Amino acid sequence: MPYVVRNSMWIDVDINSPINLQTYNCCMTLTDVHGDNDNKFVVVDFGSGSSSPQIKIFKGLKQTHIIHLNEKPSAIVTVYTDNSDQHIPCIAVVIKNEIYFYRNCKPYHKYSIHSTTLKDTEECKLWQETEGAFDLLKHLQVLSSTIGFVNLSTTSQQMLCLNECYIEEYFLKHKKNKLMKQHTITCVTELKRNLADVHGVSCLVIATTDKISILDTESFKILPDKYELQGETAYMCAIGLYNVDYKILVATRTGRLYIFSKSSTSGYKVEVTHAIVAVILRIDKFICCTIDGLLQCYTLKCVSLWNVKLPGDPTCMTNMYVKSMSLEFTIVSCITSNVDGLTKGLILMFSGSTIVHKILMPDPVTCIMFGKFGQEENALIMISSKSKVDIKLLKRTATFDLCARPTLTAPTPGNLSIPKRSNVFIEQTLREREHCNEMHVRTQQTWQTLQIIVLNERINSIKQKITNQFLHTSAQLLGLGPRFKIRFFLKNLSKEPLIGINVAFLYNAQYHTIESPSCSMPIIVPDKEIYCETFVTFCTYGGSDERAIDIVVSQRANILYRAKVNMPVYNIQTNIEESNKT
Amino acid sequence: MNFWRKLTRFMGVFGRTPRRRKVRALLVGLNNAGKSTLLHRLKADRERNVSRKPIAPTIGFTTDTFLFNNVKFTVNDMSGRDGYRSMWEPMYAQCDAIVFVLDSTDQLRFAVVKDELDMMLRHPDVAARPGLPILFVANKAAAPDACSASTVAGALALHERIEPDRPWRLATTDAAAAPGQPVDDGLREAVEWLVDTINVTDRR
Repeated sequence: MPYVVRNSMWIDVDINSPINLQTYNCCMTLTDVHGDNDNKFVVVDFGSGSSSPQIKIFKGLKQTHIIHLNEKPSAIVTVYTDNSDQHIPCIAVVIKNEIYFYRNCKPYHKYSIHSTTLKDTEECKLWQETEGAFDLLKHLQVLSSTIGFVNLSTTSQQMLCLNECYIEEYFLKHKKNKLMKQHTITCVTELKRNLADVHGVSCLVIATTDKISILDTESFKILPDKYELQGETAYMCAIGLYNVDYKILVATRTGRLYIFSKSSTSGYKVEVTHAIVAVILRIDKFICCTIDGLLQCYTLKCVSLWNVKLPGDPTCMTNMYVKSMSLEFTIVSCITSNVDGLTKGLILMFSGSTIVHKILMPDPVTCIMFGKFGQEENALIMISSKSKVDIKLLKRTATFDLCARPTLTAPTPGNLSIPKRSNVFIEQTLREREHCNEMHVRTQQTWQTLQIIVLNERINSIKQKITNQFLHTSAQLLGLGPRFKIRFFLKNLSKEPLIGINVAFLYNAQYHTIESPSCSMPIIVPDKEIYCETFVTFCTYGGSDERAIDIVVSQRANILYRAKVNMPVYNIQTNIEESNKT
Repeated sequence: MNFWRKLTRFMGVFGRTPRRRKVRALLVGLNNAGKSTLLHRLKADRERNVSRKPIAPTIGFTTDTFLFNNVKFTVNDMSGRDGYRSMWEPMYAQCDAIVFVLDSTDQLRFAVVKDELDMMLRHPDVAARPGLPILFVANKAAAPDACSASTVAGALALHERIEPDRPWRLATTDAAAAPGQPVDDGLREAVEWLVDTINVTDRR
C-alpha cells in the first residue's frame, strides 16, 4: 500500500497509468483553459520524434484535449486577451516566426512577424556578383565569421546549413530572388498590461534573434517599446505592468544577461562565464543558474548579492510561491551521481541562499513546474529524464525550516557593497581625517581606563575573605627570622579530586621578599593533605597592619580560598643583639 | 367500547412515533467537493422553493439545520480550503456523526483526501470514540469522468484504513442534480443509515 510518511512535507499522487511526456520547461504551463476555475496542465509533447508534436491538456490526471501542431514550437504561454467575465485565456504557441493563439482549444488568431527584404548590403553584392555556388559559399562563410551568422539573411543561413549536393540547386533557385531576412521568435513571455490580477489582460514580450518587442494581445499590434541586444535570447522573464513600469530580464545563449525597464532603453548588463540554465526574475533581484553548478543572485542593477555552489549539475529551475505561507522559494533540479556512477535527481529548495528542503528522486528531473493544479494550490510537477511525470502536493501541515544555515558559498567576485556616498558620509569622513591624532589618543585613553577598572574590580574581589567548605587549610611559619619558611597545608574534603590548583602569596614588597610567590599544586586526591612552602625574608623594621601576607588559593580563574597570615613583628637589630648575648 | 378502541389507537400513534431527536453532524471534505451543495440538496428535499444560485466557496464554516425523518440535523458545514482545514479539529469533539464529502472526479487529490482522513482518524477526539459513524459521500457521480464507488474506496483504501469496529458507509450522489428530478442515488438511504447508526450507538 503506498502510504504517506507522516513527517514528509509532500503527498505523492498515485498515478495509476503512467503519463509519459517529452518536453521542455518553456513548453508547459498551468492555466485555467476553460475558465471553470480548475487549473489544467498544458504541455507540448514532442513525442519520440516520429510523430508531430502535440499540445496535451490534462485535467487532473486525465488527458482531455489534444491539439496537433505541424512544427516544433519554441515556447507556449497563456494570455488573457480580453476583459470578458468568462475569463477564458488563449494559449499562445510560438512556431518559427508565427504565434498561434488557441482559445477553448480551437484556433483563434495567428500573428506573424513579417520578413524583411535586404537591400544594398555586402551580402546582396556577393549574391549578385558571384557566379559559382561554391565561390559564394566560401564568401558567405567569411562574411559569417566577420558579421556573425545571426546577421545574415535567412537565404544565406539556409545555404550555409545545406548539404553539399543540394547547394548548386539551391543557388540557382534563389539567385534571382531578393534576399529575405526572416525573424525567428526564440522566446516569449507574458507581461500584464493594467492589472496584476490573474485574469488581467497581458501583452506578449517577443524575443526575436536581434530584438525584443511587445505585442498587444487585444489588438494584435506591436507596441512602440523596442529593445536591442546582441546575441540570441535563450531565456526571458518579465515582471511588472506594461502601463506602469516593468522589467524584462533577457538571458542570451552566450551567457549575457540584460535588464530592460520601461524607463530606460539601454539596460544593465552582466556577463557570466558559463552558459545559463535558467533565470528567475523577482521584484528586486534576479537569480541565474549556470551550467557549472553556480546559483547566482544579482540586484536589478547587476550587483552580485550571493553565490551558491550546487551539489550537482543543474537542469532546470523554477519559482515557487506558497501563497498560504507567503513564502517564495527557488526550486533547482540537479543531477547527482553516486559512487556507482548512477545518476539521481535532486530537487533543492532555496530561500535566499539557504537550502530549506531537499527531495531525492530516482531519476534526474529535466522539467519542473510549481503552481495551482486542479483545485490544489501547491502542486509540484516533475518530468524525469525517462519522461515520466511525477506529481507532489504540498501538505497543508508542512513547515519549512527557514533558519539560516551555512551553505557552500562561492567567493563573491568583487562588487562589494559600498555604502552610498551621501553628504553626511562625506562630511564625517573629512572630520575623521582632520582629527586623526585626537581620535587615536582618546581611544587609547578610554581603553586603558577600562583596563584599570577591570583590574581594580579583580583585586577587590580577591581581597574579600573567601572560604571553601571542601578545602581545609593551615599555615605554619617556621624559623626565627629574618628568614622564615611558610608551609601551607591543603586538604581536600570533597569526594572529587582537585586539579589545577594554584597558591599565590601576596605581599607588600616594602616589608618582605618572597622567593617564589606562587606555586602550582599537583592533583589533590580526596582526604589527602599536601603542602607547599616558600621562604620569606624581612627587609625593614617596624610593625604595622600591612605586614600580613595574603594567601590565595585559586583553581584556574576561580578563587577557592583566601586568608591572611599575620607575620610576627620582628626587629632585626634586637634579634641580632639577643643572639650575640646568647 | 368504540371510544376505547379509538383512544388506544390514538395512544398507539403516539407510542409508535419516535420523539423528534437532534443530531449534530459535521460536514467535512476538500474544497470544491460539494459540501455546501450537498447541504443545500438535503435542505431542498423539504423546502422546494430554494433558489438554485451557484454556491460560493464557504469561508470558515456555516451552521444550518434541516429536518430528515423527524430527526433534526444541525450541520456544521466546514470550509475545505487549505487555510481553513485546521478548523475541523476542534469540531470533532462536539458532533454525533461525520459526513466526509469527496469529489469523485478529482483523482489527483485522492492522495490529499487520504492524508486528511488519516489526520482525522488519528485525532484524539475521533480515535477515542470508535462508535462515531463516518458517512463518505462520493459526490459528482453524474460527471462523465467520475470514478465508481469501488474505485474511490480502493483508492482511499477505506477498508484498511478505518478501524474495524467503527461504523462507516460510502454513498455516491450527485448533489447538484435539480431538485425536481427523481434522484435515486442512495443519499436518502445513507442518511437513514446514519440516523439508525446514531440510534444504535446512543443505546449502547
